[in-house]
Amino acid sequence: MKIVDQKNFFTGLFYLLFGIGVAYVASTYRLGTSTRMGPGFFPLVVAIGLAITGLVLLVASVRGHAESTKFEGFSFRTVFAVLAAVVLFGLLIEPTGLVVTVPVLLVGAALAHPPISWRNVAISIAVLLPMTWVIFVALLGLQLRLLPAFFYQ
Amino acid sequence: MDIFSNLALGFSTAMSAQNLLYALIGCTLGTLIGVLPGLGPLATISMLLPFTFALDPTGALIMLAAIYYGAQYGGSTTAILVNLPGETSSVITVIDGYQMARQGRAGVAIATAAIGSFAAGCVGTIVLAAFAAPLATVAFRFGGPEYFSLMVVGLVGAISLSSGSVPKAVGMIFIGILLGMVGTDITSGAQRFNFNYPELQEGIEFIVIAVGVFAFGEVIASLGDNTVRETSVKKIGQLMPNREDFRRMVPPIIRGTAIGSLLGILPGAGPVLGSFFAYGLEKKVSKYRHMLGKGAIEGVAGPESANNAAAQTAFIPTLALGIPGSPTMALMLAAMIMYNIQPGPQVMTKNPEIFWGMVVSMWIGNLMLLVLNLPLVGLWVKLLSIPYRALFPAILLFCCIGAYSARFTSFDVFLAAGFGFVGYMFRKLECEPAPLILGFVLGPLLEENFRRALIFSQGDYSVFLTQPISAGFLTLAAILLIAASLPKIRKSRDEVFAEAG
Amino acid sequence: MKSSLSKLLLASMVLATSPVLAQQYPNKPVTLIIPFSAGASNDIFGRFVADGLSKLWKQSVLVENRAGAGGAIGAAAVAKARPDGYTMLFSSSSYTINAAVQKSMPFDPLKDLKPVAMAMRGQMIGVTGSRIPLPDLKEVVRLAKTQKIFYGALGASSTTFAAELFASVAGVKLEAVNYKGGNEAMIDLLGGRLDIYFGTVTTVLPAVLNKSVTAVGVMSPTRTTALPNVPTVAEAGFPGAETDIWWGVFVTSGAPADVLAKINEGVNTVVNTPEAVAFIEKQAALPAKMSIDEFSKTVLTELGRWKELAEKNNITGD
Repeated sequence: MKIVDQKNFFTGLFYLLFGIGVAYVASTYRLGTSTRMGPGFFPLVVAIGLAITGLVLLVASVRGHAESTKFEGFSFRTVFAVLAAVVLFGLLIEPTGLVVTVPVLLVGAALAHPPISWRNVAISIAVLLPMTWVIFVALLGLQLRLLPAFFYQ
Repeated sequence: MDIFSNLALGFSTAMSAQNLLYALIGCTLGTLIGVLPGLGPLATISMLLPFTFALDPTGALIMLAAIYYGAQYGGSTTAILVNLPGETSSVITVIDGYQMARQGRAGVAIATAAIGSFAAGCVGTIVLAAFAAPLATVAFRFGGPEYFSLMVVGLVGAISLSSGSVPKAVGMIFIGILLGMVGTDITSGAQRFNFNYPELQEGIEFIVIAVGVFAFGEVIASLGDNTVRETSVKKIGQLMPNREDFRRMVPPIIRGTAIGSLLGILPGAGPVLGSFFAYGLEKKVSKYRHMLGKGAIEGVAGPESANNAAAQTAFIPTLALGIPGSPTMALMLAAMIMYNIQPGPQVMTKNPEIFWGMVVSMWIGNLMLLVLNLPLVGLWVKLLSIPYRALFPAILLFCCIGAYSARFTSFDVFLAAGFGFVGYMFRKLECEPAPLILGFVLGPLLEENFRRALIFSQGDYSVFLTQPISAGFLTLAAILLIAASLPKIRKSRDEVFAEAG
Repeated sequence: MKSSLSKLLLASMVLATSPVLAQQYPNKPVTLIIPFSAGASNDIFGRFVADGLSKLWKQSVLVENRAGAGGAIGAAAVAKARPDGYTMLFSSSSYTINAAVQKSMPFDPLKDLKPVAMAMRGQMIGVTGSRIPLPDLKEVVRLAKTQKIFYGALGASSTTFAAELFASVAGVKLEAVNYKGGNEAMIDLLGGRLDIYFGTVTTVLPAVLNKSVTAVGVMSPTRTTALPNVPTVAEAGFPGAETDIWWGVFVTSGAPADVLAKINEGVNTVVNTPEAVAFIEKQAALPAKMSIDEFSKTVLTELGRWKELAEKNNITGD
């Protein structure tokens, strides 16, 4: 058995595992009767459908005459840098305010895409920090803090 | 009173210099806020509602309608420029709109959306004026079985959207439905799939998925694939549609408007379903259907007309029955009540100047959209001439703020990061994310109506086939499903024959 | 050059927004969370109060709809907020019902939130659709003994509770069909699928005036001015099925006493202006004027009463 169609193979694998996982959780909910369906019935059916769909994709992807595709070019650096920057934004926004989070996010974004020009990072901070404050805080009045939380106590 | 004297009354109410100014201000504010990621029409209207309190009722409602259209249009602009749908009904615009932007035709795409919306808005206004009372009762005919079957048609239609394989699209719909089930179950009050995170009790916010799967996924893919363009587009190219573009956009605008006008009447998911149906239809009947998904103008013109037409006719149940079809409509209704206007059939006879003034003001809102946005096209497109390495940090930042400010919880930002990873994987695996969004939006409605239908029928499943409207939809769904899998079957048969021969 | 410019910018921004310390409440925007979807009576009144307060205080009062679980989700959000009075909840009598029927609440309804001001009181009204002719409540009860009568329920809410209260007083069983909001239920009532719905006068009024549905009983000791021809439940033969609803403002427990007093005073002022009275009466409700203690006591007494009723009639939130 050879994985001919790698893209469909991994998609199928994801569908199958996700489907089985959800079906398991759904089966712990009350299923109910056909007149009064419980909260578990519908997700269980959908999750089983998803798992079957995954199985179909898996089987088709190992057949000899499937279209040959390759799963490649997964860019760990970009994925990690961008998502870490976003997660840091989430962690820092409440305790430290925009004045810390915006530069952190922008530095993280820069790391995602070498070569890094610190001059450009500085410029983007200088432009985007005031812009963010003016648009979201001053004009729209969203509950975002500019400064770290201890300034407000 | 016939429709023309009614409309004349409306024009005499709405067409004061002052009201036109309100419409212009509303449209401008709506567009400017609507282009920001995470702020859709509902958020925009609730944010700007207090500003209208100082105005007289007609002026205030005109301004609100203008804000509504402006915000909706702003969402489409973001969809085209940065691959981020501002709201559910512009998900489909992303597919071809963003491709057009990458080919240097962002201006054409944005202008097409404005023109399509305006044309659809004009037709929607006439439908609203002429048939408000009779059409309103159509909404009553839709109960559990009818809604369920309509949703099935919508979901099956979404399969035909994807240019890739049928099972992949089916799986994406299933995942979307399952994501929509996170949180409180309406029918039983039970909690599902919240894994003890209180933030998940209210379900997942649409904008969190959109920001993650579309915006973050796209940013990572663009940066990671080393296909980063120094500027987002090679050349700005033309700003306005040319003669050829106009020729091609007319049929999809007509088809999209027709579909949208019909679906808008149904309370619930009119604009979303309308845009998906319109795209599906283009995929089936357009002369240029082979180009859909690769930046075809039809893929913007059809869905954008449909969602605007639906947005217009969605006022029918709101105005004529006092029953709002969407949260946004509910907010408009609340505003009317705040101005002591009791919506319902009486509003047409008791306050004709307000009712017809409102109908006309919606048209004015659409007109303002065109007047305001055609000159703005140049400005929006200029954004794309900023080098991508300078633009993408700004996109990331605005998206983070959008995801955070949906409910002011960091949890949503983390969730968006997770969806960003998923979105990137989907790109790598060539899975089209649009069906997932449709599943997410329609899934809860699908389940709710399914279960409700069975309570009323006392567990009798045949109700879906014995109710004529429902049976009609299910037949349509079956036909669509067969049509979608036919080319596939034929293709694999050809392959078998090729091997045999 | 550029970096010194950015420093300057930053410095001027820090100055411009330098933290305002302990000024009088409210010195920044206040959030009013409405635990029901937009368009519901809760939403209409909540926005009215928010608008009034923001004019009175000259400070924006931002409205946020956080619907779900019969109002418990929005309430839990306020329960978890900072106890400074800047996050308020605009809840209704569903608050006490919810506390009575749900086994596990995401917050403690007795301890986590403080009742501050009752804003309005309102009446509930039963309306019947046209699936089977139901001209009055007696007929509803007569038919319910031999066949299924479907009523529109909204999770653990005053609507559901009113229907179950009526059913228990009448000694019959009604079949619950759940909806996300009253508007969805009204569509099914108008469409001839649902039989009866007990809702706020605001929700049912357009359809009653339009004669698309029949109003069969007001669940109050007195009739409603909006529909003076509709009998009370006692007049219709079912005394004991009375339940009024109210709307009011809660804040996170632990907020300073002067903040509570300011909110109570503010809400009472806002709902008792002549324009406000006219507006509220148009929605078939009445403005309230209660002290913090009176309102707290009302909530407490009601909570005990609902709990007893819920246990006696075995009403649960599933």
